[in-house]
Amino acid sequence: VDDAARLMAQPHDPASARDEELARAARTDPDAFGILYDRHWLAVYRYLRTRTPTDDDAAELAAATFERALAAMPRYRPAGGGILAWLITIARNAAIDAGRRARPGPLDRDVTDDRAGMTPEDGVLTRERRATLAAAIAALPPDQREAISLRYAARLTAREIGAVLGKREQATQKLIERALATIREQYRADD
Amino acid sequence: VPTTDRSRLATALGDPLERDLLELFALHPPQALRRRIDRRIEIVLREWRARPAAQRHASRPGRRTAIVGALATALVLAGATGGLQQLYLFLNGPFDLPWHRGVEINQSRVIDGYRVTVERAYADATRLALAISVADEWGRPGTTQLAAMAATVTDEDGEYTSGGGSTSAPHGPFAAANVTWKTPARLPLPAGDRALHVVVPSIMVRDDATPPPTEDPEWNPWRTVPGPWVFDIVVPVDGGGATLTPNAVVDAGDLTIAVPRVIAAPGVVRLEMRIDGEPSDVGWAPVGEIRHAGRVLKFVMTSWDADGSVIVLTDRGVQDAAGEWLIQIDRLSGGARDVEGPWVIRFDAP
Repeated sequence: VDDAARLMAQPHDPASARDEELARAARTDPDAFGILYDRHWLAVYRYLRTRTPTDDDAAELAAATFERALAAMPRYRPAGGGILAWLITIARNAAIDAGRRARPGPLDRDVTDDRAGMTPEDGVLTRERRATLAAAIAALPPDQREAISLRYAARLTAREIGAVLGKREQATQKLIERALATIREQYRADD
Repeated sequence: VPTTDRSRLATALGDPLERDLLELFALHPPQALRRRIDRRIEIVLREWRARPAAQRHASRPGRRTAIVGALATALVLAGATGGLQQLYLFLNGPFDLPWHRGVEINQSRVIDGYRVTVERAYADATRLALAISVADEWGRPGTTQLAAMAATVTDEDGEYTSGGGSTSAPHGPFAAANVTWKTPARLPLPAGDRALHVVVPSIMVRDDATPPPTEDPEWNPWRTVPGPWVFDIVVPVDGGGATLTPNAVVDAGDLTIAVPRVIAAPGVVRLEMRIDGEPSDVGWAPVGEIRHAGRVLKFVMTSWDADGSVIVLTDRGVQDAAGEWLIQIDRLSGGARDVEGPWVIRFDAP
């Protein structure tokens, strides 16, 4: 939990400062928006994949997210948690609009599924452990499950997660710590 | 795939559980899907690049929708919603606030003949109230009732959470009116104009004319009609009231009641409390009232978190928060166990 707390409390990294410059430029410059897209499409896709039943649905919503973001760039203000948190908020709204309420998409899947496009790092977690972990996350209350998706799929900081969920950073940190404690207990019990 | 500092830091974590969580969610779409997303974005950006720089701001998709919607509103507004206004006045208590104190919005969007209109809105430091109507302009045979119950609201600070109070009153078979309350992403909402993005993701249509299939015991006459009906509105936030930080604490037997903040707004008073001590299975719900400037404000809505934080809303608000405040908690209701008071907190607001 100490590592998690440290990571969640970390201030915006230098990449985020660059993001804000790009976001300002993207109001009028398509190339700047293209760079933002390159930097963040995977985080948006991974988050949406936790809320959708198929890869196809997640891809469709990811594309819609960036289309909406482009239309809304003039309204973007950095105060709300940064550009990635803003993009994830749009993605979350797009998923809600599409009627795909929070549900653990990839966690529902057959854990023996050998997914196309899997990277070497994906293979480290054994299927059995993946199943245990997926079950522990699926059993969490919805707000904790959502926070875990935002933290580990979208890789947001606590501050950014707070911006997405409309909670304070400290409350968000507690939410994630509670979720991790619950998962850890379940995970240990199954070891 | 770009690698950011953020992901490098994350993968360097020493905690095995966190490493496993990162791996679990390290999903990649099949290449064909990745190419499909890329193509969609390339097309949008190509179209944008093709326009002169001066036109780029005005010609984005969102703005086009707004212009079309505004034209449609001007053409059709009168017939569909005029009779609905009286319905809002039947919605009791604070739900008529958009009509008494709010501003006219009158923005409509039509999808498949279903016109959804954001009619009026009211906002103060604590809450946003939207009056939303829905009408079937085609008067489809078989329709017996409509309802518009859901709306999401976002502003530059994020998505508003549901504040409850949503109800949809029918006006004949082809129209209905609804008032919904939302809690802003960041509190208190500052006074002044607020740009809001409102999405009604779907409406409900009831069809009693079509006989249910005999083999389906779960048949439901209500069906969802997907939208979304999307609005960009500007609502003036009523600047009356004040945010007070009494930081008062009282002992209630084996419990401690703390009141760190009170947001006194013209529409409602939001009392933020912490109740620490032995937890209740269902959380602690305070029962009581506030007295201020010769008026009594009753506690009417309570929500709580497992960590002991409690939010209480009153049945009315205050325009001027100055003077003595008295918060009286008569009882803490905890489901199987009640703790009897009263406990009184007094403080002065400048």
